[in-house]
Amino acid sequence: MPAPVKPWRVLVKALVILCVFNFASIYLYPWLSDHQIYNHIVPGRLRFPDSQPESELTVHSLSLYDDFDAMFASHVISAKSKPSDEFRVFFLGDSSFWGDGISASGTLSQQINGLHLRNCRNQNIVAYNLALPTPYVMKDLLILNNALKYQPDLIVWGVTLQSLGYSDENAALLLSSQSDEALYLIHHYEINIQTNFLKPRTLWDLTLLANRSNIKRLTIFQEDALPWIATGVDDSITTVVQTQTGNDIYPRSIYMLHGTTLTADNLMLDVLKSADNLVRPIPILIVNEPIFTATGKNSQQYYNNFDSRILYDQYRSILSDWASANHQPYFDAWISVPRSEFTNSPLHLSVSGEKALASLLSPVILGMSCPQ
Amino acid sequence: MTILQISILAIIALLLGRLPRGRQLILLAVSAFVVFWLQPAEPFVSLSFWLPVATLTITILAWALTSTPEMRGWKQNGTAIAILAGVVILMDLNSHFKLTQVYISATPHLTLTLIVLIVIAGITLLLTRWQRAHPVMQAAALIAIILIFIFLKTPRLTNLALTFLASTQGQKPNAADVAFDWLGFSYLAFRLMHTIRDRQSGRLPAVTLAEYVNYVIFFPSFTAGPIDRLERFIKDLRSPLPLDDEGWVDAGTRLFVGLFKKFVVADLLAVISISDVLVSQVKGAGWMWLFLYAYSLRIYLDFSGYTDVAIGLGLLLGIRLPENFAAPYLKPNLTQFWNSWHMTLTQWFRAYFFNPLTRALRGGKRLSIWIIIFVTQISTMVLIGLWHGVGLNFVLWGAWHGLGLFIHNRWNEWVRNRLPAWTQSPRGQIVMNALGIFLTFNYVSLGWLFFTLSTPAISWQAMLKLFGLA
Repeated sequence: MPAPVKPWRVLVKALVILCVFNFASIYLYPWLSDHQIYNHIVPGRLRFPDSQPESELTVHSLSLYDDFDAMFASHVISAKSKPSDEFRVFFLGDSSFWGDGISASGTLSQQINGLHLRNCRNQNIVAYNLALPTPYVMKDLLILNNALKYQPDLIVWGVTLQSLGYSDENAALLLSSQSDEALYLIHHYEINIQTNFLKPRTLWDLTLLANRSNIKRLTIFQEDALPWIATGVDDSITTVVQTQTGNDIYPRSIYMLHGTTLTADNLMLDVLKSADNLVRPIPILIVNEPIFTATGKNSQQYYNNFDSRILYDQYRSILSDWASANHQPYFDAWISVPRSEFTNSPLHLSVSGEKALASLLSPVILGMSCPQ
Repeated sequence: MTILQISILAIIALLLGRLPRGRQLILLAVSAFVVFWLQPAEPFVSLSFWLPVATLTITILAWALTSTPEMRGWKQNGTAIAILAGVVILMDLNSHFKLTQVYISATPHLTLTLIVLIVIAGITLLLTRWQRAHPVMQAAALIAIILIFIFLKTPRLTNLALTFLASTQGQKPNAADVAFDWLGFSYLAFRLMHTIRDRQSGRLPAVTLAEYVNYVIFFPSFTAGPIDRLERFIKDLRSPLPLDDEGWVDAGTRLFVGLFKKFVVADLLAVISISDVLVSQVKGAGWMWLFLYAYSLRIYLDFSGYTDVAIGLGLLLGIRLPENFAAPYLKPNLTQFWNSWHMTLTQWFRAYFFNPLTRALRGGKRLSIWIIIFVTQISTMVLIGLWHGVGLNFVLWGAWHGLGLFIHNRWNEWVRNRLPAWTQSPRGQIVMNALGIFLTFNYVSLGWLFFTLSTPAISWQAMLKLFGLA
């Protein structure tokens, strides 16, 4: 006859097992985030995963911005070491360069690859999409810092008035989970960002209990490989089909920064400068992203729902002056893409819009890949 | 329910189960509180208060209609009435306490709530006194519950009502474009109808208000079943099962297994479960089958996980709720599947619809047996479908199963003496059993297409893709 079960013994054993797993997670999780299905069993993704938490269970993508290592491990960039005849171009930026509303194969970096460019040294120019939705250049700097080990030869960085603006909300959202790295960069390059909300991570943050959301997201992301390879779709693009046809402007106040006067101090230009210092001698091409310009109601005051004319003109002028003063390669693409190519926001482009932008950028990239 | 809510309820159940005295009344207070606590936010904040009040009200009125005279005394029920009124007033007073983590603070003015409580008390008193009208009132109550049910399960009607409500409050109609969710009404309706029907047939045991309300809104099973029977439930309520060492382990195992099934496995399967988006994007039939099977497993693990949690919580309170699932996907035919899938629901429909309808059809005109079987199977399953929502997809899901049950019944009759001898051998039986399980699982899985996809057109598209025809 089996011995009767003692509940307190079960409880003690359960607590011991929980403790073991809780602390084993400190070592296990980093290993798991580096060893994914992607790039091993299924191909790596062409862009970073991104989706809103509420849609986690309905689209083939999950945001992993809490874990940059996991993001890179799932990306095609980490699939293999760099071939000797490859000239690597990394595209940084927000949802526009990431390709909101279009498939991964239609984004700007893939359009560049579609041109099959070869530079003067007969190297293949291969572009990688390392953009991540949410306009915030400090997030791009963090990605760049992580991307350096993949040996880029050129960085193409899309910026906007919004992404260069200071944002406590974005800082809290995107820097907190990478606080150690963010604090290092901010202090090392003396970047003007408040750091009082950034707390260094402790060992406890890596335990099973503290890290359970990341573990869940990482697990679901692996499973997400199945719908992804079954459909080839890595985002909920079916919900983004409308075109930016409305000429009338209804300004969204959150984007109307700083009243009517913008100065260089209002823009995180020091982040761009820090990036230059970080990656030197690798060149960085700063691109002022194309915007939709409306002509209907309120268009005397605004270019579109995001940008007031006064502020945007000041922004372009400041950015251009700053680039000249710092000998920073700069490409102003602001109205270079036809209005009909914008989709669901004044910044998002259709596939043919991305193609148009790629054909504008390709000579610049080719030029920078063969320095005089 | 979230893991946190389940954990809090488990601790409460554990403490309640240890109480030597007053367990029933405290359980009543906790269950009434849970009705408010778990009520989802509504487009109109006041509904988040009045819907739980309505749950308690119709439960009390149903008790007044079904109780026996010896159970209606003030002495037996005074404390229960005070507790229920106290919970309502306490929740209303959250406008002062502002414990918004627990419950909404935008509750109605206390005077209004008190007036409503007095009116409810008056109607209850009248019903208990006006016994001669009970047969008519019981029939009226059954019809009213069914009508409320139809209203709640018809999105067009609820949207219409909410749009009207919005217009009376000067809000834009689209602000009301949200289906309203009366927490637990589906199961509440079954329990109330069961008690009313059993009162009509004289089978209902005599119970006090506290016992009746505890049965109807028993917090472990309030939101997702199982649907217990009153006579069984009150036996455990009156003399709870002792929580000995085995009981602890049993309850803990059910809780743990339930949480694991629901929050780990089912939630993971949700990502690869068939959906409208996947149907439109997936091209290969193989992938479609994989995602369909994932949905089949997910819905089972999700639902049976909740049942395990409910049974585990019940055991902590000393009440053994009935089982709802018995390895349904391992059954060799559809009849056995329905005897082991959501068992308490099918038992309810068998007792209050299928059997009476079969008796009525057999007793009336001389209909052939297969017509009777066809009509009863189809109508029962379509009703079960409609219980999930008033829509063509649920009708089709019900009809699919009704048809399957009918075909299985007829097949059984036909094949009885026609099977070759080898099928009777032990090995032959294993083969036939495996074949039956395979066919039944796939038939049920195909049925889920009607259940989970938003329109019959998408379900049909999925069906074609599964067989490589689209």
